Amino acid sequence: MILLGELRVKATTENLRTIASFLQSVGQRLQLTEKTLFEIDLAVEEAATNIVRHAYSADAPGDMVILLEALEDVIHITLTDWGRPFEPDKVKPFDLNAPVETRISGGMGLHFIHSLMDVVTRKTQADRGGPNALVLVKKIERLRPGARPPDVARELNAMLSVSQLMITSSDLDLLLQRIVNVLVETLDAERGTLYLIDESTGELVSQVLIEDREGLQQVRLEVGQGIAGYVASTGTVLNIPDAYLDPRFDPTFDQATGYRTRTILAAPMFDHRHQIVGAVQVLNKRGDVFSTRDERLLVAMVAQAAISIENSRLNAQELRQRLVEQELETARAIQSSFLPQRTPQISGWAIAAYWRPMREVAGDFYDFYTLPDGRLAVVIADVSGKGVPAALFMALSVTVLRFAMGLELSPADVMGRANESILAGQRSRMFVTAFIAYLSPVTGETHFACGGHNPALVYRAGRHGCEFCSALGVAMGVFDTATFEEDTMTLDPGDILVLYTDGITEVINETDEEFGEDRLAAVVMESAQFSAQTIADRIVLAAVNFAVEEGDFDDKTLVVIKREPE
Amino acid sequence: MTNVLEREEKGITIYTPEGRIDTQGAVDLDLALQSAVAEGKHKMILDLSRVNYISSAGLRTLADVLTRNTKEGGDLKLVALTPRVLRVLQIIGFHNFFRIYDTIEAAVAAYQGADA
Repeated sequence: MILLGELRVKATTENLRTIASFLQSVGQRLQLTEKTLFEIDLAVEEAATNIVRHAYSADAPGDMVILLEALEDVIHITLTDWGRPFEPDKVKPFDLNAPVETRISGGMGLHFIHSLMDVVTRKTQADRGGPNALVLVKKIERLRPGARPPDVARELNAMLSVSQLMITSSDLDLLLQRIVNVLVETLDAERGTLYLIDESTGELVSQVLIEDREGLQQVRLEVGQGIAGYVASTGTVLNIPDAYLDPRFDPTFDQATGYRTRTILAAPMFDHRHQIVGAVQVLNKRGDVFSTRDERLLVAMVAQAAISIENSRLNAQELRQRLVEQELETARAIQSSFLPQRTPQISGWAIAAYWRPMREVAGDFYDFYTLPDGRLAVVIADVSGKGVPAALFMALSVTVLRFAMGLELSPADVMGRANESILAGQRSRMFVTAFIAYLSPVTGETHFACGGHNPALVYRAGRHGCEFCSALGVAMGVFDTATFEEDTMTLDPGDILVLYTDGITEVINETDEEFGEDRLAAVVMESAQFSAQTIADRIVLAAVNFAVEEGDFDDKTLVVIKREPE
Repeated sequence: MTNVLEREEKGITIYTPEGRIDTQGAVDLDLALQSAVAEGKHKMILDLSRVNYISSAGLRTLADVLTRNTKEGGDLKLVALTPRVLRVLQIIGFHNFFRIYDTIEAAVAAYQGADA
C-alpha cells in the first residue's frame, strides 16, 4: 500500500473545503479522471460532514484524519475521528424539531457514499473516545492508465500516519511489524527494532527485528542495557553517528549476527500517562547519518505507535465485539422472521425467493401478501444504508407496507400511505425504495407501482424476449408531496416476472463493469424453460460468479414468479 | 462562499448559484432560497449551469424548497444541469421528482403554460 497523503484537521464545516483541496491536490498528482475525483470528493465530503455533525459536538470539535493510500489502481480512504461512534438511528436532541430537510441528509449522505464507493467498512475502536474509522475503497481511473503515482513527501505523510495505519489491526504482532516497517522505510534505515517492557520481568523484549530473520529470534535487555535500554531508562532520544565510538553501545549482537552497526537512532516510547513502555531503534541510515529531522520524525511516529499499541491491547474491546456479534445473530434471526416463511403456493404459478444479507442483517426485504380479493401482492424493497440501522428501518417499512396493503389500497396508494407514515416518524432519516405488484392468478393481470426501485424484468414467452417495467415514483421517506403512478401488465402463460434489488445488478467484476440489467436478462432468457427456483438460483450464481470479491458488498434479494406454460 | 445571483422575470425568481454546493455552499444557497420562500416567492428557477458539484446538504435545500413551493402552488424548476450534478440527482432518484429544463426560457415558458 502506498501512502498518498494524510490530512489532520479540526472537524468543522469550514475545514470541509480544506479537505476538498487536499483531495484535489492528491487527485491531480495521481492524474485521476474528473469522474473518479468527483466521486471521491463527494463521498468524502458526505463522510466528513457526518463526522462534523454527528461525531463531535459543534462547540467542541475534535480532530479528524483523512488518510489516502493506494494499492495498484485501488484507493483506500480512511476517515478517522475520536468522537461518538456512528449510530444513524440515534438522533441528536436538536434534530428533533428540525425541519424536514435536515432529517433526510444523513440517509442521503450515506446513500451517496455507498453508491459511489466500491467498499465501505466501518471500525470502531473503543466505546469512549474512539477512534472510529470509516474506510472507503474505490477503484480509480487515471488519465494515463498505468501511470505510477509520483513519489510523495513520504516523511511528512508517514509522520502522522502510523496510528491510522494500525487502526484496523487488532493483531498486536502484525501491528508492531507494520509500525517498524513504516519507521524503517520512512527514515531510510536498514533495520529497526521495537522493544516493549515486559511488565512481569521489567525487561525490554524485542518485538520485531526487521531484516534480521536469521540469528536472533528475540532480544531481552535489562532496562539500562545497550542503546535501547538507555533510552528506555532515561526517556531521552539518542542519535549516534558512530556506534563503535559510543560506550553505551553493546556490540554483542553484531558479533552474534555478523551485522555491522554504524549509526543508531533510538527513542523511548511513552504511554498516555507518560510512562515509558518501550523503545524503538533504527540502525544504519542508508548512505548517511540520522539527521535532527529524523529524530523529530521518529519521536512523532513513536508517539503515534504507542497509541496504536495501547489500543490493540484493549482486549475488553474484543469482548465487546463478540457481544455485538452475538446480538447481531439474534437480530438476524428476528429479521428473518419478518420475511415470509414460505413462498405462496398458487395453482398455475411457481414462485421462488432469495434473500441474502452481506452482513448479519440486511436492508433488503421481500414480502407476499394475499389481498382480500384473492390477488397476490408481491413486494421487493431496499432500505437506505446497511447493517443494524437498515434492519430496524426494514422492520418499520415491512409493517407500514403490510398495513397499507391491508387497507385494500392500490399499489400506488400503498406507496403514498407508506411515504406519509415514514415521514411522520421523521426521526429515522432513512428511506426505502420498493416495487409492488398485485397479481391476479386467474388472468395474469398485474398492477404495479415503483418507488425509486429497480425496474422489474418481465420475460415474454410469446416472443422469447425480455422487457423492463417501471412506473413513475420516488423513494419513500423523502418527500411529503411524493406521488406514485401505477401501470398494468399481463403475465401470459410461460411469462416470468423477476423482481430484484441492486445487489444483484450492481455487483462489479474485475474490470469495474456492473453485472447490469442486460446480463440479468440474458440469464433469464437462457433459463426461461426451467422452474422459478432454478431461474432464481441461476441468476444468483451468475451474479456471484461475475463479481470480484471486494465488489460484492451489497445485500441480494430476488423474487422470481413464473406463470406455468399451458 | 457560494455566490448566488438572483433576478426576477415575469414574477418568477431565477437563481444562478456558482461553484460548489457542498455542505458550506448549501448554507448560502439555503439562505438565498429560504428567505425568498419566506417573502412569498414560490415560483423559482434554479439555473445550475455554473454548478459543478452538489452534495446531500444542497439536495436537502432543494427538496425542502420544492416541498414548500409546491404547497403554495409554486415550483422549483431546475435548469441546465451539468452531467455531474445530474448524476448526483439520479443516484438519489430526485431527477424524476424535479422538473428539469435545458434552458431558462423553457422553464419560464413552462410556468407561463401552467398559468395560461
